[in-house]
Amino acid sequence: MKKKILLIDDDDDILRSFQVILENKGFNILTAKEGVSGYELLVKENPDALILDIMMTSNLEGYNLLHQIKQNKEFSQLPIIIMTGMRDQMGVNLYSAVEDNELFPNVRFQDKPADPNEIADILNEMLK
Amino acid sequence: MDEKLIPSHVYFARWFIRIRWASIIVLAVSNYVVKRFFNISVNEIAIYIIVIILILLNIAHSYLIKTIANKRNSNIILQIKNEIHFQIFSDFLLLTAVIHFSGGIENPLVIVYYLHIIVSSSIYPLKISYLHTFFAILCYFTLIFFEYTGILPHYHLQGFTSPELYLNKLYILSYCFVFTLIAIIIASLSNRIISKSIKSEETYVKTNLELEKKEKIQNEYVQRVTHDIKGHLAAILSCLEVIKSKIKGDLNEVQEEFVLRAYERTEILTHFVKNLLNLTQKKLLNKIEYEEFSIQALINKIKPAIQILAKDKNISFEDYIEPGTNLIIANPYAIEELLMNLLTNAIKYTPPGGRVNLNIRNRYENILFEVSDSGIGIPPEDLPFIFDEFFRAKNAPKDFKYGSGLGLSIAKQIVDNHKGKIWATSELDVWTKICFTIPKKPTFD
Repeated sequence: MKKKILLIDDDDDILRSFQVILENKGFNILTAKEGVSGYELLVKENPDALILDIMMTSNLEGYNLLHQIKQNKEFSQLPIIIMTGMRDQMGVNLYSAVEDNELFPNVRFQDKPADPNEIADILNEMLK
Repeated sequence: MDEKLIPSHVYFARWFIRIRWASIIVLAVSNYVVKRFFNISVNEIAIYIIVIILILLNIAHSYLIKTIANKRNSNIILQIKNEIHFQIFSDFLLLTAVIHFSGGIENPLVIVYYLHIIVSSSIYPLKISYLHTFFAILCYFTLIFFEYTGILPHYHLQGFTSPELYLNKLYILSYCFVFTLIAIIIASLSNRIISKSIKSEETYVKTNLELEKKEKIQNEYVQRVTHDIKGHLAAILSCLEVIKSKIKGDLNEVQEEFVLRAYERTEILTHFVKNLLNLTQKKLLNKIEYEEFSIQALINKIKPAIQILAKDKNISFEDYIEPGTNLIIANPYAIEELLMNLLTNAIKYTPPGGRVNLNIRNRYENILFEVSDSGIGIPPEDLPFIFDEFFRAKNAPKDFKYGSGLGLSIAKQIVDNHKGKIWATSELDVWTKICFTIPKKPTFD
């Protein structure tokens, strides 16, 4: 059975190319362009993992979404890959604070621009 | 714009106060001595009253200066200047009173007016120092005139000069003429001479502030632009990746060649933009977050990655930490990035079969890190510039396409942010050693 992955990113081109590459790697990819529809899709489809662009249109949108998801008990163990320019944006320390936070287990951070092949490897490892 | 405190104004204000304490003592003592030992008649009680007024005024002045200097308001220079105005005007009035009670035109103390004129013309524009000068002249002339016409009594310095001097028209006129002339000359001359250096100091401080501001605006601009470019590059890379990985069908040889060319150039550009963004953000960072960490633990963390890189090129890597060197308060992520940056650089520029060493030593308040290699070295003429942005040494191999010329600038910025020092020594074709120090504890200005 193909693993179902939800990909949330506001960049159309990233969304589409990641979808094609990851589908080729054997994943079933669902996409959403922003947080609200992303969360609806998450609840509806219950994917195996989530790939989230933390810096979506507004600076806090991605981070708030992450918080909202991890607050929900159903998704507290959901594997999440965060593609982030946050380290660039806010300095390394917020990154480490989020990483260290036990509220967010099963979360990986990937610097942007992320290589879709690397993302596929991380997904495979997290979904083992 | 908030002006930084220019020390010369405070300096003059304090200098005035100190001179005034000295003159208070001199005035009190000489008042006593002149009367008792030289039998010269002065109005002793009046002078003592003026001394008391001077003491109170001086206490008020020093309190005012202290309050203004401590507050460090944006208009501190204006406030200090106003305080000095107050000092000059009050001094002129009191000095005129002292002269009146101790002989009027007979008293050589008239020279004291010049002191204030010099200071005034040093720190104020010429117009204002002329105003002070004319105020001094007015005070003195009024006194002389009032004494001459009998509106004010004249206190003759008995036994010092001729008793009729204050009524001698010719003497008064020539005395006042010389006094006025010299006062004006002093005002204009010292304004020209002294104020030039003070004004250049003012300009220097202002220019520095403006430069800092401009650089900040420029850095913010670079940050915004590079961040936007990075987003587009990421999208281009992953779109090219779709074609390159031939998911949706094979490419002919030429198509593949050009996709690979485009991909590689985009990668190089992405690498460059990332470095530029990284450097700019470090420049804009105005506060590092410090924490205590173990250097040994940090080395253990980065060692596996370095060993893999070194092994790939058949380079031996060794590290040494001087015993007793362990804890440091710094930003662990920045130091990790710095060491990774220098060590990968060392491996990059060292031919296979060479060696790379990392030595960490205790140096009083600092930790000294030395990254040395048996690499291609740096030409002596390039050595002073290797930490400059976009600089690449002449002997850097052309096939290192990823070199952005920013790696060592980033390293230097990290060291600068920690208030450490970084330097390099090298022998062309033989070795390179890059050393940096990081204070064990953050030093704050």
